[in-house]
Amino acid sequence: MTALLPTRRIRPDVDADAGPRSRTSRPVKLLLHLVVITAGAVMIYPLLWMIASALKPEAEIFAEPGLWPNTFTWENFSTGWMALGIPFSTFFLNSFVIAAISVVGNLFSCSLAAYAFARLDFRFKKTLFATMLATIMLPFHVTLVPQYILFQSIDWTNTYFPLVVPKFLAVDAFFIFLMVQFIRGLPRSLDDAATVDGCGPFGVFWRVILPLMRPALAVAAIFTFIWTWNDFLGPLLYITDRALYTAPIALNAFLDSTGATSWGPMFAMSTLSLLPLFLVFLFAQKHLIKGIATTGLK
Amino acid sequence: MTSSFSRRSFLGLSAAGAMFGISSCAGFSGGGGGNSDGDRSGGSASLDVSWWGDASRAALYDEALDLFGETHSDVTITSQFADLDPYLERLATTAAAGSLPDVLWMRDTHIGRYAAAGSLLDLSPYLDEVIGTSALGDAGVASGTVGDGVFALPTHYVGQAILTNDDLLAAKGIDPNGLVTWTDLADAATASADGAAGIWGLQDATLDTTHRHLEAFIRQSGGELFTEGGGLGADPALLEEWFEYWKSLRDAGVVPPADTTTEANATGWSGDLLTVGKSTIRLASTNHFKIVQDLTDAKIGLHSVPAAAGSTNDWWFFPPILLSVAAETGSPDAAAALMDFFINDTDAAAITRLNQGAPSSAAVRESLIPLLNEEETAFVDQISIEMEYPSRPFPIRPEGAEQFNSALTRTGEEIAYNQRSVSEAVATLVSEAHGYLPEA
Repeated sequence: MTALLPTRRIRPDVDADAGPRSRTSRPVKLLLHLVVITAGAVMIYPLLWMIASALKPEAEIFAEPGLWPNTFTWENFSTGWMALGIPFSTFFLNSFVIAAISVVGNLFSCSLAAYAFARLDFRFKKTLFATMLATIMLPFHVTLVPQYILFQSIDWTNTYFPLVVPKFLAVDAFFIFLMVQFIRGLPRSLDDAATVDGCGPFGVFWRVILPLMRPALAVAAIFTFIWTWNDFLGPLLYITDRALYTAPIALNAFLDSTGATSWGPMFAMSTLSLLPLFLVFLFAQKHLIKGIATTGLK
Repeated sequence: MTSSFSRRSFLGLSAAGAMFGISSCAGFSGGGGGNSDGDRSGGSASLDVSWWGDASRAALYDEALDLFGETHSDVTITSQFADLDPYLERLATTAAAGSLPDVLWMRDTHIGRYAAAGSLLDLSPYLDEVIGTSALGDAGVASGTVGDGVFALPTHYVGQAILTNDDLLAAKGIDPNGLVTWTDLADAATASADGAAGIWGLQDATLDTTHRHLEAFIRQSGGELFTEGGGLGADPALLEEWFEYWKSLRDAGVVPPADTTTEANATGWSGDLLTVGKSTIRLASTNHFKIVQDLTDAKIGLHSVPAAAGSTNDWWFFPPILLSVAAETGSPDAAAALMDFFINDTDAAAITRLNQGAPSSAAVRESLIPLLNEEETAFVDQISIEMEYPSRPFPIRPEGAEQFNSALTRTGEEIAYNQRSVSEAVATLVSEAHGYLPEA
């Protein structure tokens, strides 16, 4: 029903906010900046501590918990890189392949599903939409065991199929919802014009909706990448062969909660495994903010 | 709005992504190694072996598995590992799916549950036929016995101990060998605590994640933590006495306050107060001795757990590190042979050494001695000596034992953070335990 509401243009919210803010006095502004900077420093401290610890000899990490290393060493990186007998680059590549395929799968399937919910009319649409939204609230652990049994019975354990194939079936309800919201904001007259020019439903999607959806697609792509890259439980259950480990599973191999954990190498490899996320975020930041500002998820 | 996101480039991108992934990654080769459905043509067997731990343990156990492969060329072996918590999570999921690894290391805290659920193979037919148990003794077999079946056997034992920083104790003129009773321990801790130097006398055992020393304390009084039927066996008065003991030391500034302990515990052994020279005594497992000694230059001492005045003399117990076979394994004979290898083979032990504790077989322990350094010998001797003492049976952990274990930690925290009095906290612990432990 909501899809049939009159279309509206994207409101220039940013301009509306600019007025009152510019009247804020200088000292107050300074103070606000100071608060934000302090809060930021507190938030980034654990990250800086991890990087600093990666550059310290292992014995110094907890004995000298300050940020600046007394002795500077790259040793943690070299021991960590080969700690599992397989170079860590393999795990990064594995993680990257899974993340890349997941991004493609999510963009493809979620955008199609979102288009159907936002623009097409079909029976039980409202019920199906509500069901789809309800799956957001379903904890992952509920479906864990049945899912494992399913993939086990078709002999997909120890392969990447259980991790990437579902992404092609639009299982991430959050992204569908996000894209539906975005598509609802696009003027319907564009669809109508394309239909007059001879486009079918798929043509409208492909030629009109998809190109206009780029901000929403960017958000979905970035979040999919980050979540897949960080995913621990999925690869933990399905991947047991060491050569197929993803980065988080490989990092776990440094941990020995019943004995002595190799903190130094673990911090070193954790630092490296954060780099791709950092880079993705750095380059995609603009799209991310644009996407969030225009999808009604403020 | 023109778009560079054309259909051609989109299709090209997805195709390239898929091709790249599938061609370069073994992860898409299908089938997967390891599980019970592996290639078994020509009567050969395949075993998937699983343990908890880190990459360094994996390197040792893979080497041992290679050795087993040399004499069992018909057996294809794959292995998997993860740190303890993820390991248990994976175990729970694969057990629910009926696809446990063929041979798996099992916690003594979980054996009761997995055996009762029918996930593990009853090893009784293999005992003494394939798996030699003569060096394990009746107690060894008993530690894996659930109901009428034997579902696991110990490969290693760990024990309870106290670790001392002998340098700090010597500076205060305290003899670490004199810590015979819990009162001795409290006195030595009080005398060695040095607030000005930032040194604590004793570390808080009530905030640990396991509570074996409390169990020792209860067994010393003649009681048991759990009854034969799996119910709560501990006398509430005794639980109060235990928490009161630690509370008074904490209040006196001998044991660090709760936040100091919590912070130190989060860093594991590398940041442990004993390791970094900020405490003189702590309770630990016997096998932690070598870990701590390797991490510090100070002289660390290893001693038996103190006993209560008027203690029973048969309270000694050794939590086993267990090895099990999955009920649904396709190669039970090979799995049993591998179990025997890990329990009785001295060449395997020469590779894995003391990585998981002291070997359960007295013969294997004996064979290792010439290979060990001073600390390792001290550790093995300590366990061997204590195992000579009389010890009454150690009941199998009932279902709900893990929950009770976490409840003990929570109770310790409530008391340490002064949220509740000892008697209140213990009363809650006991009344809640009656809810999830069977009545017996």
